[in-house]
Amino acid sequence: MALRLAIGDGIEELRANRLRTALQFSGVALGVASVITALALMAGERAHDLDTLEKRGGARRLDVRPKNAGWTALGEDTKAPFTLEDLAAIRRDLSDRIEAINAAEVIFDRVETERHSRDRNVSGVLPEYPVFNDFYAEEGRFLTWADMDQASRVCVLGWTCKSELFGAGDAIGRSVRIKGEPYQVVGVMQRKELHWNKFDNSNALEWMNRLTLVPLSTVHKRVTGKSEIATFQVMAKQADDVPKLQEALRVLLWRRHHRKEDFMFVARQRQFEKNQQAKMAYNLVFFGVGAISLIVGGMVIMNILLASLSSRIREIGVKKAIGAKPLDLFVQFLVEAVGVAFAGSVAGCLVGGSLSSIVADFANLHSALPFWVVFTSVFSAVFVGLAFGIYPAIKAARVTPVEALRYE
Amino acid sequence: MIEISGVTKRYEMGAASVDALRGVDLVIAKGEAVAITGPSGSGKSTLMHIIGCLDSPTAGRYVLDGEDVAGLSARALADVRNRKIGFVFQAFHLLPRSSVLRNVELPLVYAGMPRAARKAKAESLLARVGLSDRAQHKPSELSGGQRQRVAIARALVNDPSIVLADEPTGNLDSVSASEILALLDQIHAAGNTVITVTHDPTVASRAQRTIRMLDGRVVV
Repeated sequence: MALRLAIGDGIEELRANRLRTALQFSGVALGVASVITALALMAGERAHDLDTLEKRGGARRLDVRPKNAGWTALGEDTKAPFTLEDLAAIRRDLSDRIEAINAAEVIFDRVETERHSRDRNVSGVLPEYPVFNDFYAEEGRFLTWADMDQASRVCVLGWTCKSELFGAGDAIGRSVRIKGEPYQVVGVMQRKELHWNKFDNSNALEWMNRLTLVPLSTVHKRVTGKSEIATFQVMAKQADDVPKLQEALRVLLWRRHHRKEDFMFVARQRQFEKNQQAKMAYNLVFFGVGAISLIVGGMVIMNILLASLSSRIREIGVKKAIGAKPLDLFVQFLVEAVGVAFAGSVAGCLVGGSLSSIVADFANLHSALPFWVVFTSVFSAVFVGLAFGIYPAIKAARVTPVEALRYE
Repeated sequence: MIEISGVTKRYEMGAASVDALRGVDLVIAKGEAVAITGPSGSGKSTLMHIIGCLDSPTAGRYVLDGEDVAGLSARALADVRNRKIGFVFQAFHLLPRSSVLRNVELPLVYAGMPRAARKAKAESLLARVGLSDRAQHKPSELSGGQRQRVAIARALVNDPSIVLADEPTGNLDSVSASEILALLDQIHAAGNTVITVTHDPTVASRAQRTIRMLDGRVVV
């Protein structure tokens, strides 16, 4: 078979019919651009979510909760199952595998100075609280285990809290009143800021700036009078140790809770996977739209090839009369379809690559162009070219020389 | 050597059918110059298509150089056309975007001949029809007579056993026409079998033998 001739003729035909080729090319380029935009945003969002998970120690984080929380039947013991002693035992026995541990008790109360007064979320937390939220003291210090032991009346203010109560002045060492009791300010937290997009002025993390943090033991002893903890969180030193650590915690808590398993574990890694599955539905819709435009591009190729068949039928007849075999014409038409699809896909990658980063910029999403995204797009375009080129190619191959030469 | 016996050709056109050939028996020896004539609708074009392996008979035998070609596949017929038959058409049928040289060497490309050999062969054929200086021109830059000479060069390039000319002078002025007919005479004189389909008596009169067609049969 004159393969090189068929390929050369296919390419020559594309070059000779600029407008026809440009239409086919644009159809595929737009389709690939849509596909690549969808895939790049999908890949970028996932990478960003993974990164966020990593930054917050998400893969290493394990939440411990009472079993059946929220499903308490009548007469069942509704008492929260954990105590500070449980946490102390965990810190003592598993200190080599645990980076941090935290529990929180939230009270809502008035925080006041002589001049100002605000209703604020006051949280009793443990000294390792900052690790879990990537949220650290910027001025002064954070709470310490010494504060916990003494149930000290000290507090750390969120950035907004501090500004409201003390303005631009220094807050460290000053005093605020919570529940009428004086607390000494030992630190001010860093300012947290997150905007969902460029046009949104509201700060999604402003609630963190409004926090007032005090030792958990102080809340227990001086405010609520209770000593139970509803839930707590553990940060493992190694992410791959989480399953084994969970088992060790289960045994330890089971012993301490009189051989009752009244608690359960929630691993963030698994939550993350669930989240990704939920996002997948949206991703599939975006990808579907892209795929449909690519198929439309394929239809443009097929349509134009079929239409051009009648204007080229004489030429096909001449080639067949002098010895071209059906396969030669088949290859020539297929080369045209695949060639224009491949060229269109390369342009589509460039357009889609820039489009995805522009969209990501405007919508505060994230985009990424890993190799598999480019490969998938180019591969699907070539496949579409093949799929939609086969029928016109078969028709060209089947044209009989007599009908082709007779055609006027 | 062409041996045709009992060849029929029926075209189905929806419910109706047309019998273009109703049983043709014909032997053409190697080196003969034959003219096929007849009014339009007599079946002479259909006969030419079958002799040229462009089409297969509905029934009957066709043996070309000892090879039975009546029942061959499209692919095999393409190969027979490529090796044994050179076509000269009324409308020239050159590929418009290819150079004159490329047009002439195309049958050799389909035959799989190496590049240098086919270029030399095509150039020698162009020299034979007197168009060496036009090798790189496009067909549209040539006159009608020149185009037909290119077509003749293309028909001869792979040394066919038959040259089939379908109204070779139909689109030409009388000067060009006599040039082309002289060229076909030369080709015959060199030992080729030349079959000319024509309704022009002066063209037919140059052949050694005239085969007259009427209503799908050979009448003389």
